[in-house]
Amino acid sequence: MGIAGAGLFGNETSATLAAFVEQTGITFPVLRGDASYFDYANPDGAISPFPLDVIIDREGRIRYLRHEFDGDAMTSEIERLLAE
Amino acid sequence: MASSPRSRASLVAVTGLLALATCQDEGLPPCNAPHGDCPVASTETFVDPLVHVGRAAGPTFIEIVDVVTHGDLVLACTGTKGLTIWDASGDGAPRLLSEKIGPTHQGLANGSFPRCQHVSVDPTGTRVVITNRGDEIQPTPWLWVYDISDPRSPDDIGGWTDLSSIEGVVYNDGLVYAALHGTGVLVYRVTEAGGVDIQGGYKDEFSDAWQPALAGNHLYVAEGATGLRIYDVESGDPELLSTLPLPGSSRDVIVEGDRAYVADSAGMAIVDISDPRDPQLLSQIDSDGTSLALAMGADDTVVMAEWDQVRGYDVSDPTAVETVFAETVPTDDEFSRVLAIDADRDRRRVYAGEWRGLQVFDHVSGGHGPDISITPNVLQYGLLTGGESDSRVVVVRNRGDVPLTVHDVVGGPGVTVDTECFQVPPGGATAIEVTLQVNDHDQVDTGLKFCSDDPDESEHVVSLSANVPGLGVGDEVPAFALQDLDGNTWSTEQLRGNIAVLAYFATF
Repeated sequence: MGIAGAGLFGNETSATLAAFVEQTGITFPVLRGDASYFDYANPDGAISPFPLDVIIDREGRIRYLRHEFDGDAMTSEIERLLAE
Repeated sequence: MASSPRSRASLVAVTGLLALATCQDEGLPPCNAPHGDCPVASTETFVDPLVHVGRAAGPTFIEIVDVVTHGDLVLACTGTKGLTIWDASGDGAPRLLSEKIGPTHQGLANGSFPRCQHVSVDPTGTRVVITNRGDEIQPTPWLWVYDISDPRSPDDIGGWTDLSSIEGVVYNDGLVYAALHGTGVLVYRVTEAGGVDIQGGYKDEFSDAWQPALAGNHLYVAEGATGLRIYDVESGDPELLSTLPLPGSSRDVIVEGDRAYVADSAGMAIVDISDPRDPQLLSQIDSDGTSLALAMGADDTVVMAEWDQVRGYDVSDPTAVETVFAETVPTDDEFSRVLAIDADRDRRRVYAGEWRGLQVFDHVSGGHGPDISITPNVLQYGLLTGGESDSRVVVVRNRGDVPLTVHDVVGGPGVTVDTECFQVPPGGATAIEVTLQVNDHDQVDTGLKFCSDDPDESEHVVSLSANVPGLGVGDEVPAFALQDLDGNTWSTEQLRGNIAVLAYFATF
């Protein structure tokens, strides 16, 4: 399918992240992030940098950017990219 | 309820860093009256099945994470105010009786952010137990008991900190049944003097206890990826009777008669528990976002806290569940999350706890009609140069029980649509192409208004934006090379050639 998922956290400790991942049953790779999320645009006027969902295409271009989770919109964007 | 990749409940540490949302309705032309070739709307006067009555607390961030009704009282666990107690005997929004209830004077709770995460009221209504799980903001997990005989002035009975990652609790007949994630379930007896005796507990390698519900001698516990577990607690020492794996991650459970209803992040599982040693999955209802909490409302309706909505499902036939209502909570043009829910069946009230207040709804008997739902609610057009145009698609759904008539769609400057009026059957959906043309490189913030016969959302506005500062659609994602929890390095270079989803979130 060519899809990779990753979660990128803020500056939190490894122990906190590990406990959180175990509690929530996350199965995709979880990376400890830096402050790069502040570089993203805020087109939906969110009050916080989190949550933020980004879909990037095979060339590394941003094709989807939302601070609000929208499963339908993400699914349709992924299907569109898979068909390209 | 607690944070999760999709609940992402607690954002106080970063709130206010970015600009607040603006209302995109300003400046949009008014809706035109139904005209010419458009489908004719029903002449029936509809009343929405869920009517917003008002909001207690807010709009300042308060982060309500658990709500319980008891008689005339509503008790809400909050981040910024600890436990709050409200008088809900009146017709409008509840009145505040007391707040900032939590072990702040013991130094266990942060005075500016006491963070009460779960609350349970003893059936007598005189005592209450509250919990805090323990995280960066409140490092010490605690469980505290209060006498609320006078709800204006609760008395501190006592509490305990020798707990590990405590989540939900049930308080009944002097016993506290506690869910402690990987530490399993524990049963405490609270003495009159405020002491505590451990009665028993259960833990194994699959324990991931989030929220318990007590019915008779059985304790039903939503246990994360493990699913629903049922314990016999007659002796006070829990004996595991059964484990039923469920989709998603089980977060909340309610019990009514021979059925358990489990909020399992994917939606709701309905389980036949007539034989607690052999529970059977009757049906699974998928919701669009994340289901975090459930309550039993009037007319066999299970109400659900679901992302930014309050959902209602008629479960009178568990194999043919029907949606009764699906309402997005009002948010003053700012984002919100519904994290907690409870219902007062006698008053036909629904209480939804969210980031910015305690939202109160009437569940209207016989209410029905068309119900508009549009996704996405925000359309981004990335970077457009002068004279350039681009198109996006929105899907208009009808979650109601009669046809939805959209008699006009009006947009801001440069916004056009391929269909200006249409009808959507109950349960149906229509895709609308929305084109934005810009005159220059300037930032565009505008909107598109759908004018319909939805009884409480006759004008629904979708936001449109283009040329927003910062990285946006069409830009290259910034290069990164980060390690995962196993020490493996992931980089943008490695992801090249793949479609990747990056979900930024936080544990707090």
